[in-house]
This record gives sequence, C-alpha cells and structure tokens, in this order.
Amino acid sequence: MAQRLWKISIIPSFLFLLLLGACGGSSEESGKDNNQEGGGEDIVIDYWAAWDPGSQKAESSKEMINQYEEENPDITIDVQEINFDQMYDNLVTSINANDAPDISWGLGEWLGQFNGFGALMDLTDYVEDWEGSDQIPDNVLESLTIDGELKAVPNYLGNRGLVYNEKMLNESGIDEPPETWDELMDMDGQIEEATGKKAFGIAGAGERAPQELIMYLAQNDLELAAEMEGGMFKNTWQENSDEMERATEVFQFYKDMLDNGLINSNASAWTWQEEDTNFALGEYAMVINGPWIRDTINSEGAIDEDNVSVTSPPANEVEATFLEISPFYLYENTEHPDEVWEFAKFMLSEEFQSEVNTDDSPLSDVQGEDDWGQSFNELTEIGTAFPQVSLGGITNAMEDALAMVLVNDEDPQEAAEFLSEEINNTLQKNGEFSEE
Amino acid sequence: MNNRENRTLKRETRSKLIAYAFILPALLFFLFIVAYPLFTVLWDSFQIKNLINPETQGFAGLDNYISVLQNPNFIPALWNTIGWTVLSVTGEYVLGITSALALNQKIKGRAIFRGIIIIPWVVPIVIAGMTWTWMLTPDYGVLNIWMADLGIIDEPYYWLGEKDTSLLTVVIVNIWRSFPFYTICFLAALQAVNREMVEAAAIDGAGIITRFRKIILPELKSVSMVLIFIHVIWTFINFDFIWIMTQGGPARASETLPIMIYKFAMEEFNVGIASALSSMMLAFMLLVFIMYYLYTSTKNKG
Repeated sequence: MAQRLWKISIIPSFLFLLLLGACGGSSEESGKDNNQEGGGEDIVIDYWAAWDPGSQKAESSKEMINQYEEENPDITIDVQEINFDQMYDNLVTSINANDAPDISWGLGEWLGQFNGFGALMDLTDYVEDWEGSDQIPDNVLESLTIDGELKAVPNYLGNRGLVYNEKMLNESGIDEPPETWDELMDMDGQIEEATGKKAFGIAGAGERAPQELIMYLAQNDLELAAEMEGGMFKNTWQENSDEMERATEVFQFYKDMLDNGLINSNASAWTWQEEDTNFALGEYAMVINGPWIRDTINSEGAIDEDNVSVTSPPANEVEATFLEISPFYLYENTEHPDEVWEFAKFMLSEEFQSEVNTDDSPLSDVQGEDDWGQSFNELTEIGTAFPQVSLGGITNAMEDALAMVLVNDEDPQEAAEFLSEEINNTLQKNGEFSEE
Repeated sequence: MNNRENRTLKRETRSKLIAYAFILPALLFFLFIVAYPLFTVLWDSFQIKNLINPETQGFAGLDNYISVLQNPNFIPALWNTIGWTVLSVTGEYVLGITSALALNQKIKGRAIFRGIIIIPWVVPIVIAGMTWTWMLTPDYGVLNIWMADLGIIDEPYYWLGEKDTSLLTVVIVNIWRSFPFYTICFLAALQAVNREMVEAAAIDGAGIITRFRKIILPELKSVSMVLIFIHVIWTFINFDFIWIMTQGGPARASETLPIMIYKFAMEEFNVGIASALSSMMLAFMLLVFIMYYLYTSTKNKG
C-alpha cells in the first residue's frame, strides 16, 4: 500500500521536473543540429517572420524558402509566423532566456535595445565580403550600424511619403499637393468646404506617433539624440535656444493642425489602424504613410487606387521623411552563423526581393514596375531613422509629449522641454548619455 | 520500549512519510512556479537591474521603491486602478445577481438564456477587446452609428480616445465579459434557497424586496464574499483588457499599475523598478487577503 502511494506521488513529481527540464533546455536544442536518418547533419534555422498570413508577401516568401530548402538539402528553415504586436515581447523574452531564434523580422526601433542586450551578431565582415551590398543605400546601412559594427540588414523599407487623394484635392480646386507646412495648413478650409472631409491625418498615439514626430523634427532640422564623441548620445535642445525654438515650432504645428480643423479632432488618439483605415475610407485627403497603404485602400474598396498618388512630405526647414527600416536581426546565440548569414543573403538577393518586396525593397535595383513603388523608393535619400539608442523610454516620452499638446492642451514649449529632459533621463538610465 | 509501542511508532512514521509523499508534487509546484518567481521579484526590487545597462548593477536599497513613489504617473495610475477595480466589481456584482434572479424564474426558454449568458465569459479577451474597440470606433464603429441613429448621441463619440471616458468604457466592457461568472455562481447558490420559506413569506405578506433582502440575500452572502474577493484580485491585477483597448491612453488616462509595470519592464527594461511596483501591488493584495481572512475567521468564531 505504502509503496503504491509512494509511486503515485513520485510519478507526478518526476513528470513535473521533466517538464521544467524541457522548458529550460530548449535553448540547447533549437536552431540547430538534428541527425538525419541517413547519418548526415541537418541544420535547422529558426526564422520568426511577421508577414500578414495569406498576403502576397507571405505566399511568395514561403515559395522562395521552399526553393532555398530544395537547393540546400541539409538546411531546414523552421518558420514561425508571429504578428508584429507579439513579436517584440516574444523576442525580448526569448533573448533574455538565451533562447532567441536564429533570425527574425523586427522594427528598426528595436535595434538599440537588442544591441544593448548583446543579442545581435556583428555582420560587418559578412557584408563587406558580399557583392550585393552596394545595392543597399549607404544611409540604410549606417542606420543599422552601432559603434562601427553592422548589427542588422534591411528586410524591407517603409519610407514615408505624402499619400494624397488626387480626386478630393481636385474637387477642392487644388492642383498640386502641399510642398511646405504653410501650404498644408492653408488647405484646411478649402478641402472641408468642398468635400465635407478633413484635409489631413495623423497618428497621435501608438507606435506610429513617434515615427511621425521624428519626421517633423527632422523637417525642422532637429535630432532626437545627437551622437557625441565616444559613441554616447545627448538631446541638445535645452542647451541651444534656437533648437528649442524649432522643437517648440513642431509641437505648435501639431496644435495648429488640431485647432484649425486640418485634422479630425479624434486623431489625437488615433493609432496606425485608425489613420490607415480612415484614409482608405476617404475620410480625409492626405496622410504621411508607407507603401502598404495601397493594400488597405484596395481591401476597403471605398476609394479608387488610381486616384491616390505619392510625393515628398511637406517640408519646413529641410526636406525629410521617416526612413522605416524593417531589418532582419541575426542573433548571437546561433550555432550556425555562416548558414544563417547565407539564408539572410538569399533573402536579400535580387531574385528573392523581386518576388517578395516589389514595392519596398531595400535594393536600389529592385523597384516596383509602377509609379507607386518608385515614388516611395525615391524618398530613401531624404530618410531619417531613429538614433541607435534604446528607444523604449524615449518613444513613450514622445507619445506623452504629443498628448500634452493634443489631449491636455498644454503649451508646446513645455512639451518640447519635457521631451528633451525625458530623452536625456532615459539615456542616463541606460548608460548611453554623453556628459559633454 | 515494548514491541507494541515500537509498531505504533513505525506506523506513525510511515503515515507521516506517506503524507509528505502526497505533499511533494504540490510542494514542487509551489517552489518552482510560485515561490521562485516571487522571491526573484522581491529580490530584484532591491537591486539596480536594467537590462539595457547591465554594467550598472548592485544593491539599490529602497531606491526603486522611492523612484516608483516619486514617479508623477504613479498616483494617477493608483487611482485609476482603484476606480477600475471598484467600478468593475460593483458592476459585475449588480448585473450578475440581477441576471441570476431573472434566470431563476420559471420563464419560457430559460435553459437557452442560461446557455447564452455564458458566451461573453468564454470569448477570449483579445478577441473581445479588439471587437469592442472596432465597435466603439467613432468613424466606422457600429455602436456609434446605432447610438447616433437612435438619437442617444448627436454625433459619433470617441469613447476610447477621450480622457473622460476611456477608462469607464473599458470598465463597461470588462463588466460585460465578467458578469456571467457571477450569474452562474449565483444561479447555483439560488438553487439552495428554500422555496417553501420564500412562498410562506409571500403568503404572510412580505413584498418582493423584503423577500429578497430578508431571505434570498443572506443565503447568497457566502458566495458573494468569495466572488467579490477573487474578482477584486483578478481585476486589480488585470492587464490585458486595458492594454488591448487603450494601452493606458489617451495621455495615460486609463493607465493602471499593471500597465505601468509592463512599461517599466518591457519598454524601459528597468526590471528593478518594475519589480518594486510589483512588490507593492503584492503587499496590497496580501493586505486585502489578511483583512478577508480576519473577517471570515471572526465571523466563524462569532
């Protein structure tokens, strides 16, 4: 009897310990070598992708990956589809558990964080030896370089352009899209009177809001955090009254757009979903957006794609746009860095990019057949990316600063001062602040 | 010591060993799944621990706790958490008990209604949150369109995008999702209420409210206490509904303490401060538990 009871209690305990062991031991197994029945070695590459399931990008990627596996019979690509909302949390968790995939999609904003974790491979030598690297614009590679080491390669570009509904503009008696902030600001009454719709759209919240804010700051010749000597960073607005004035002007611009009715009053809390959907539904005439908006326009079916065109965003001091680089991150913990790089190189090949990233390829030789892709690609040279620092606290502060003027109706200068201070506080906490 | 005493001792030792063997799996679960993470959080709350800046490490003393208390967003988030918890649990309780009383009546199609009412509770929170977000959107959300058509509102309103209504809107959605749990529990408890006593009270002239207050409600007291207690905990620490629907916005108007913890840990990677705030929440919940324990033990003694 006693023996039986012992067995009853020991078995679940043993199973529990086995479960714990299985959870903790995955890092040694994933990625990695499996013996084939024939005795050869099969390398498994863990690849986390964030494409939209069922999209053209997803389907053509899968076809190309199958082709790669056929050409490299000793390599298996284990693809995990994870959407962008979950990708960040999953990557952060897996990196800290020393169980990152071999290669993944990601956002450019995560570069500083992942580099701070020491999670990324140094790709400098690989890219130097790769003939295709000269097809990638210099500013794209620079944006992915930290302390002279290339820490990621571009997957696709999400250059932002002024996407405008030509039909609505024409109905309002406007022949050309605005080239400056002032021209944009003058269009509010004209468009609303003629069409009953708002002139412009912004995202006041979510991931898109800091991306738009950094663009407007760049158009006013401002940097979020300037790189100082020794590879450290600092926000310099507080030290330079001219810079603070220009930063204040950016927040004033946001406030004016809201107060003058250029944008929908709800746009202060819009995220990318509301911004994209409302434009695709014809609720307003112009938006700063990326190449993907074409899919949204076509899926909503409310406006005709032929009536929509792309040009440079309206400028102020200088011409600038947000250069969204969606990179491939290759992780330090891989057991097969050479094979993982070969796979990344395959995905950066002209053949792969022509099939998968027709409108948003980082390769200068791969451009969409129509004006749409080309219009966005031409904006790469005026693109500004986020500084290569850990951005979590900084993007939160950017959202807070926008909320100060758009939601709380606070003074634009206070918002600019708050943002400047918070950026430096965050840099200090993360050990990235320059005392210069 | 004679043989008989010896045998008794052996039997007692064996019984104890068997008891320990039964406890062992639960103890292992407790140690690895509960105690270890809990101890780690408490330990980290006294450490300088920033994942981005691993070079700066060491004992922080109470600095992390002070940082949390000095954070300008802490007090608003605390009030939001209290408001979110109190309003949610109150709403769930009222709706739960009302629907349970209604479904306890002999009405046509009662079984169908009892089945349908559980649906909100079985819908995954992500799906429910995203669907409600879509329905509440001012420009193309069905609820706004219906309310405007019915004349309840003059024009579509951004329920989740305005500071005054964002948290309240999520509270309503949370009540919608959670009240069926109360309904089912109350329905079960109502089956134990003595019908003859209720009928006798009615014959003696007790009105519907008196019958509810004097006979039914006392019978539901125990289940009410358990429901309120566990829902206060569940709601206080709830993260997903608010994150999915507002991410704590606009302008942090719906930010609660769990959202703050997430932002500290997963966006700023400051594990020390995130752990300090988590420990403070843990202490608060522990206090609630002790108060509940004292209340029930005093009541049982009485």
